[in-house]
Amino acid sequence: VKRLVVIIAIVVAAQRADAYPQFQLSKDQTCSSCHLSPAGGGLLNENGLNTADAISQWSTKPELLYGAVRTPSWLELGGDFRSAIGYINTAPGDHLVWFPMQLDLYASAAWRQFRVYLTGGYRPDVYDYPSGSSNGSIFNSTVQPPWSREHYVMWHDDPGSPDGVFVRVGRFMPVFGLRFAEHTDYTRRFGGTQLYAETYGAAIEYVARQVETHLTGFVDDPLIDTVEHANGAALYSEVRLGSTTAVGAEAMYAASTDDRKLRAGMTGKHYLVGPDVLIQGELQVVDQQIPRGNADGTTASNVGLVGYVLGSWFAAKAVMVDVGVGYYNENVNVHGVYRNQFDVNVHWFIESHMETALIMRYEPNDPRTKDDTGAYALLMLHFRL
Amino acid sequence: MQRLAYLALLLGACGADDRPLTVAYVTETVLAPSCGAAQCHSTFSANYTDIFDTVEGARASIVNNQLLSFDSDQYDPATPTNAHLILTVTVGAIPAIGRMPWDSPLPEQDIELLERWIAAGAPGAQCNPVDDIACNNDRLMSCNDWNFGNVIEDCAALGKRCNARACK
Repeated sequence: VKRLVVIIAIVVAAQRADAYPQFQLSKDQTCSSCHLSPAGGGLLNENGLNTADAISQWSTKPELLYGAVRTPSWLELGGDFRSAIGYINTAPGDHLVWFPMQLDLYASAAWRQFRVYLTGGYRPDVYDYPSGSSNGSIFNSTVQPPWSREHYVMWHDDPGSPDGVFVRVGRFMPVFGLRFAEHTDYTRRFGGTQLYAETYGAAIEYVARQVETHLTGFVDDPLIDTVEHANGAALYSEVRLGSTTAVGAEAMYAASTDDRKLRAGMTGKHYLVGPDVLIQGELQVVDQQIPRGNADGTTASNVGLVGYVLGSWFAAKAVMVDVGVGYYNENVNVHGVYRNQFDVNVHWFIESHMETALIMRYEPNDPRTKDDTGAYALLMLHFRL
Repeated sequence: MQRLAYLALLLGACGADDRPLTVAYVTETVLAPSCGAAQCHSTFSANYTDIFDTVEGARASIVNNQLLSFDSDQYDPATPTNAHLILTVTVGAIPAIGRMPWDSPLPEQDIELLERWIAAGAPGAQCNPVDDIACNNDRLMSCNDWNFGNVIEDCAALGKRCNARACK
């Protein structure tokens, strides 16, 4: 008899409002063609609003609250709300789960070549550590919702254009790799840009139709205990070979008290115009050094691999079908310490503010249980303010 | 001889698992990537007060939340497969919650690495130094830098058992 447990998972999952990189090359050339941020995600510009409407099943006014609220030209407001319900298969049975995922509001004000960008919203609760712990100082339970995941000042040499030189200072996610919206994709989860990995830093970025480069320096958040514990730098460059192919290179160095990671990898994208299919992939090599990792107190070394390939078929108006395969090997020198993920996601863009998606994953593995797989099927609803 | 050499090469290619048995290594290669995800047991979220994305967090969680036991009634180094930590990543120590991680079960080789580390006495996550003393299989011992130190009292020799930091 399968156990059915209802779990109100308030804190278990979330999702950033990243853009869909599936739209690059298939809809436009760069992230900044549709988003205010050169990294993509969050607030849309005029072209992004029009695209949101163009790809939707039913046309609606794509502006803030369907155009009911008008803001001055220097101010942009918005928000993203996501929630999902479904089943997770894990021993000993299926679990019915509900995830709030995301409750974020955005504000951005522009003045000449400068722009201030703020993301504020709900964050998961932090559990209080038991009294008497010797580690009270490292567990910051004082920061509770709401919080600001992103806040930065941006300088753009050509504010009227999606291209140009951007300089950002503040709290944001370094631009690195393909940046899928699904934070559980291996290249995000194990690839240096996991959920809530925003931290303070500075970036200089150049975006043009044929090439873009992002160089970011970042530090461990000095204000709260967060996900990114390291200081480091990330570099991502992408060259577009014509209008349907792009190749990229990436490198990231991150050093914390616990380990040092050097990541290097490649990305590639190709859009097949006829069948309306975008294929993209990313592969990283991760060199990890672990101080005091060996029994004699010396530094231990690891070399890992992270990869993901995604095919996206724009099957009909407003429908996008993703089929993806992920690979993660934490140590290529040890047999068997790898895992795979297989994804099928079906997105339906109902109208310019609303999207629903059936998100399905299968992760075969071999723990000693009768239920030796990880799998889930979630129905996600997304409303853009 | 040549065949033996080929066999040795083949075994080498398979990668003999000689990974180190330290709390730093098992945290950074197994627990942090698999259990310490942002929305799970990161310092940021600390679900159920378990933290696995740092070495300090991992050993504090293992010791303070009793994911491993060195008491005489359940001495995990003798039977690592029964340790709460191992049951959690295999069959689900708490049925209502299920096996962890939910979506991405650990590879068998990683579970075996954790078991070997536990069988070796879970160095680096044996006891909380704030408590000064701890039980280690019917011996009351000092605790220094998260490891057992000197024997303070041999409970077994006194015909007693060591539980909850006392000979009883």
